[in-house]
Amino acid sequence: MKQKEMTKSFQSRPARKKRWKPSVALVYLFLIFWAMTTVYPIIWVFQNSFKAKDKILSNSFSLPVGNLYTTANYRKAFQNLDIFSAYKNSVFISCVVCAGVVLLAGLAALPPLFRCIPWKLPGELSIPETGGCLCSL
Amino acid sequence: MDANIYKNKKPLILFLFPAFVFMAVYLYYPFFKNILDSFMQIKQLGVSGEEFNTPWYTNYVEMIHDQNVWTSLKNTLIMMVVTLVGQVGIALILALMVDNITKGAKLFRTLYFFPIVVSATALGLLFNLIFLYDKGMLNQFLEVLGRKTLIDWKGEHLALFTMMLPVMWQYVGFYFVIIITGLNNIPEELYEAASIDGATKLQRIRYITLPMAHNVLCTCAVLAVTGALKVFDLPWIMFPKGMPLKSTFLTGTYMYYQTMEVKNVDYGAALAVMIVILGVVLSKVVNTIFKEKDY
Repeated sequence: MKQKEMTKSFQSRPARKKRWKPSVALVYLFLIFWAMTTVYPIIWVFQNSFKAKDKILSNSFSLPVGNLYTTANYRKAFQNLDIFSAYKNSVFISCVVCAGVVLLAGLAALPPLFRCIPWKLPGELSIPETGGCLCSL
Repeated sequence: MDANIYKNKKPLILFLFPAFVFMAVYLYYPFFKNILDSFMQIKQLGVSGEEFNTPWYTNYVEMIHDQNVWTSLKNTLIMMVVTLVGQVGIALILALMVDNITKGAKLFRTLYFFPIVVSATALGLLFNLIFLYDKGMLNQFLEVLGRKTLIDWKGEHLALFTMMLPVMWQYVGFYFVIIITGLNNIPEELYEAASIDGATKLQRIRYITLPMAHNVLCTCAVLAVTGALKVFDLPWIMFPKGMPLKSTFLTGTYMYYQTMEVKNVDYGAALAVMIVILGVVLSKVVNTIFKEKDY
C-alpha cells in the first residue's frame, strides 16, 4: 500500500528483494486462522451433506469420497421436502422488500436534495419530473 | 435564500407522507399500544385488552419479584460485555491488521463477512450439531485426540459459554467491515508525517488510528450493546426455554417465552417496555462514555 512505499523511499533502502519480516508473517497467520474458523463450519456442513446420516455421526471429518459419497440427501430435499417452493417464496419476499424499501426510503430522502436544484422551486416541478428525479437516484 | 426554496411546503409533505404512514402503522402504533397493553389484562394473543389490571401496575411489581427476570438481566449483562470485548474488540484487532497488509484485504473481507449472510436459525442448528454431546463435531475431535471423558457443552457450567460463542462469532465480520471503512477514511498524510518523525507502527496505531476512529468505535459500541438486549434466534434455537433449568434466559428470549409459550401476553408487554427503557438508558450511557469528538 502507499504508506509502505513512502516509508521506504524516505529511509532510502537499497533496492533488493523484500524479505519476510516475522511480524508480517505473524499477522498473516492470525488473519488466516480467523478466516479458517469463519469458513470451516460451512465447509464441514457442505462435505457432510454428501454423506448418509449415520456416517456423519460416526466420522464427520472425512471427505465424502468413494464409499461415503451419496446424493440421497439432496434428492430428499428437492423431492420430499419441496425446497424449491421455499426458494420461490424467499425470492418473492426479497424482491418485494427491495422494491418497497427503495420506493419509501427514496421518496423520504428526496426533500433535503431539493436544495441542489436552484433553478426551479419545488412547487413548480410536475409529477413526471419528480418521477424522473426518483429514477435517477 | 434558503427560506425561499422551502416556501412551498406541499411537495415536501407529499414526499414524506408514504414513509411516515408506513412507520406510523407498523412502528409507532404497535409501540404505544404495547405500552398500553402492559397495564391491561389480555386473555390470549390477538385479543386486545378489555379492562385494566386490578392495581394497574401489577405486571411491573411481578417483574421485580420474578427470579427469571433477574437471571435474564444478569445473562444479558454478561452478553453485553462479551459482545463489546469479543465482537468489537476482535473486529478492531482484525481491522488494524488488515489495514496494514498489502495483499488479500478484499479476500479477508469477503471471508469474514460469511457468517452474517447465513441465517441465524441455520447457524443455531449448525452449532447444535457442533456442540452435541454424543458425536458432535467438537466431541468427535476430542475423541480423535484421545480424551476419554467427553465434555457436556450444554450442561450447567458451560451453558453460558456455549450460548455466547456463536453469537459472538457471527457478527465479528459486521463490525469488521464498519471499522475498516472508518479506518480507510483516515488521510494518508498523517501516517506519512508520523513516519517522517520516526514513529513505529505501534505508535502510529496508538496515536493516529485509534483517536481518529473514535466516532466509528462509538457507533459500534452502541450497536453492540443494544444488539445484546435484542438477540433472540440463535440462543433460542440452541437453548429453547432457557434449557438447563431456566438458567440461560436472555431478555429477548425471556420476553418471547412469556408471550408465546406461557401465553402471559400482558406480562410479555411489560417486559418489552423494560427492554426498551434499558436500551435507551444504556445507549445514552455508552454515548457519554465514548463521547464523540469533532475533529
